[in-house]
Amino acid sequence: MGKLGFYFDATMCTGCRTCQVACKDKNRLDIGTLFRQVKDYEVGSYPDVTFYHLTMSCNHCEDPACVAACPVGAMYVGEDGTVLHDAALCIGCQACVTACPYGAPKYMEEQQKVGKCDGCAAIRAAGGNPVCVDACPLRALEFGDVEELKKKHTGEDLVSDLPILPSSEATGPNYIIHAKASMLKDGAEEMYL
Amino acid sequence: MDLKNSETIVFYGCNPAWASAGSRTWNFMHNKKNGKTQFIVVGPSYNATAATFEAKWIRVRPGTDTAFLLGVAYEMLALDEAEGGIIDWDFLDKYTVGFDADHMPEGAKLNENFKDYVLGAYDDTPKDAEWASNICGTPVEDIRWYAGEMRKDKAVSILHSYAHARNKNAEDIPQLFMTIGCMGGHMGKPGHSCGAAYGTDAGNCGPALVTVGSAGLPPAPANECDLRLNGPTMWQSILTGKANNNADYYARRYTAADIRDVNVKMMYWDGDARLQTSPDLVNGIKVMRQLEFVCTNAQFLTTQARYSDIVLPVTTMWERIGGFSPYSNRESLFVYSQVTEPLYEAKDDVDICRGILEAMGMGEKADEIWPISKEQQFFNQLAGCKVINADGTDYVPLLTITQADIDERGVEGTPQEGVVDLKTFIEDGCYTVPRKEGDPYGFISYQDFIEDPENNPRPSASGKFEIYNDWKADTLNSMGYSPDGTFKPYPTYTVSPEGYETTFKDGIIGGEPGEYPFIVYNPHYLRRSHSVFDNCPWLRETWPNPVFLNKEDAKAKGIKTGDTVKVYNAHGAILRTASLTGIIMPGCVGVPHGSWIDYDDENQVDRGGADNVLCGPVISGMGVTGYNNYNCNYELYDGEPLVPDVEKPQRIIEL
Repeated sequence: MGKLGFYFDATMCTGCRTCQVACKDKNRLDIGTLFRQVKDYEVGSYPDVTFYHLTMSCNHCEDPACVAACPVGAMYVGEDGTVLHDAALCIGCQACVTACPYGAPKYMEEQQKVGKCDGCAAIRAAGGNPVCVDACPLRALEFGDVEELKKKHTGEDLVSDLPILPSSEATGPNYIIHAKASMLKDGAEEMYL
Repeated sequence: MDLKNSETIVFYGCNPAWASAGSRTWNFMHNKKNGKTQFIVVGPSYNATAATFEAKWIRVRPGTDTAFLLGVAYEMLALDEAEGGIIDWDFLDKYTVGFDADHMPEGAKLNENFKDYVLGAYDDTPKDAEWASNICGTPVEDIRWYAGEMRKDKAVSILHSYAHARNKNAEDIPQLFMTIGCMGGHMGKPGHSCGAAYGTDAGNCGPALVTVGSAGLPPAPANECDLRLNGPTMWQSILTGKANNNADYYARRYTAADIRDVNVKMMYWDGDARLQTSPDLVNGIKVMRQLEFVCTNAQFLTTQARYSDIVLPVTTMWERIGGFSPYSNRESLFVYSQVTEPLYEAKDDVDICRGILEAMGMGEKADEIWPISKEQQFFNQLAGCKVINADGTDYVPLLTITQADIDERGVEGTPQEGVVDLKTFIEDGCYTVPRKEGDPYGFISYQDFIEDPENNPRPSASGKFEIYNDWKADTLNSMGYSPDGTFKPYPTYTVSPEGYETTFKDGIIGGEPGEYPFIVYNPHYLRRSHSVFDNCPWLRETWPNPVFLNKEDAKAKGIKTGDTVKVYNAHGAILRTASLTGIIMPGCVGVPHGSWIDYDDENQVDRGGADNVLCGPVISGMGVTGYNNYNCNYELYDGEPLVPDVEKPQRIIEL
């Protein structure tokens, strides 16, 4: 099977955060923990200004830094190639939190363990989609075989690198983005919306 | 579907990405994807909709749209004279009255028309782009560009929400907005439109294709009390004992000034969140404390519940027998079902009302008003649901209902044939009329009138769009909130009692800044629907509710993003965390609408950031509630800094 990951059509995204909250709902996350997070970035200056949104959970990398960093094997690559976390093995050392260039693993105070997006593995095993994918009102998210997603979106310039993201050469994220022109510009500043 | 034919889409005072959230923004995506549509956003900020559609931003100060649009009218005339092809003179001739001296309506009282006013014939002030720009802040070249985009041979959809009308002094906006649309002939033909894109109808208007039946109740008894208080000044009315009974919005009654004595002893809030979402909130709370008795029906400890003597817990929709969502699109009907029995002592509104009537010895009144059971009412609604037929000529029953269905519900009724069976409809919770290109369900506003104005006149005295209308001027001039003669039968520029001019010390543009030199507007914010859901921790975490400040303005005050800032004016003061951004015009402050008040009585400042602490009882004209153009100043707050709203204790009562 080919590598699995998310496709994000940033040209459709309104930054509504439905994906972020749907994930929180399904995973029963406390205040302070987000497995998927939307951020907004302003480019340019008044009056020639624009902004864009980026949603990100786990990029299920080719060469996951979290797996390499985990001392007890709690972070591992699953059979379908996604990066998974075994809470039973986790000792809450947060090595993965430090290692991940994308901030995907989240330390959860109450449980004293880490958690992260698993692409809604159980739902997918039952034939469904990750909840963020189904929840997005603009249908901006998809999940699946990355090569097939690329074929499906032929004609779109798909990127895994953006000025605001770490280089994809580090861990090989399986995250393909149909970016807006503004996302490729330097000098973006995170907004507080 | 006709929107796909638009070459230009204007979002005027309109932000569907934040205010018609969910699938409404999808309605415009066909146009985005075709890569040929020019999107334009008009307003004080490059908002989320502008960002989504990578629109051209035509910036206009809050509350100055009358000036902007008059400038556009002037420049359309100028461009039409220079190049031709801008103004649809045939449209104006055939479908409007009052545009110029040759098209006055019968019996017009004044020998004045819109065109001559715009050209400066009456006041030596041509309303050109320079004149407009001085007031509205839009660059002159943008006003001229926008005027060109309104040209008759471009398929333009000029879509508005209500931001620019929810200003003090917005009385001439509707007539003027219509006039611009008429000048370009943008009504009643494919690809053209001039009207609202608001709420659940944003981008998809027209008669509903699937409708709910009637519950079968008799008409509600008339309210014997005819006194109506003006919203923004209602607290002042109660405090001073005098009110002007010149309007009833819901009855569409607008009459001359009629001052009445007011002697309010008690308040019963039967729903809404009117205390929180009305201007003059600090005085509203003062009134609540002064009244002899305040009672509220509420599900949550809303602002009006907090300041009540008695709160009656009322059920949510999940605790009720079932019903229909009023918020839908024209193709869909949503039906909800009971999920749980009422919690604790919660009762539904009808039972509360019935209980009060019984306690007052008027129980039989309740039976007059609700002579049939809730089960029967719901069944009547279901049985009466209708759906458009295949060729779009009539409506047919939606639901197939069997005798077994009727017996199961213990109601009266007759079996019927429909398009979907009752059980499936209830289980799905929804029915959607399938649509496809070329189906007979398309809708273009005013098409009937445009195609045959003789047989399909507009419901106006002349049967046409009235750019001149004496009743409008006479009524506004008599209502008692502005001096007589302020308004003309055609749209004109008048100065707002609070707005841009009042940011200057002497009220003259370009003079010394006044005490409150910024204009505040209140964008809708995705944490809430107005004020609803503001108490949800997840939503507070997701949307922190800062105050939006122009980056350069704030830097000049030594403020950076994350600082606690006090925003204040003569009506009150609030605290919010600063968010510096380049997406709003200089001189403007964006206070998100609807944040629940959390008043610090000791320091006389609201730690909740409620917009209506700053929005005061200031009105003119017909008494419009002006939420989007009041004044303020702001500074770093030297008191106790704010904690994030999500960290505040939840507003609940521990039993």
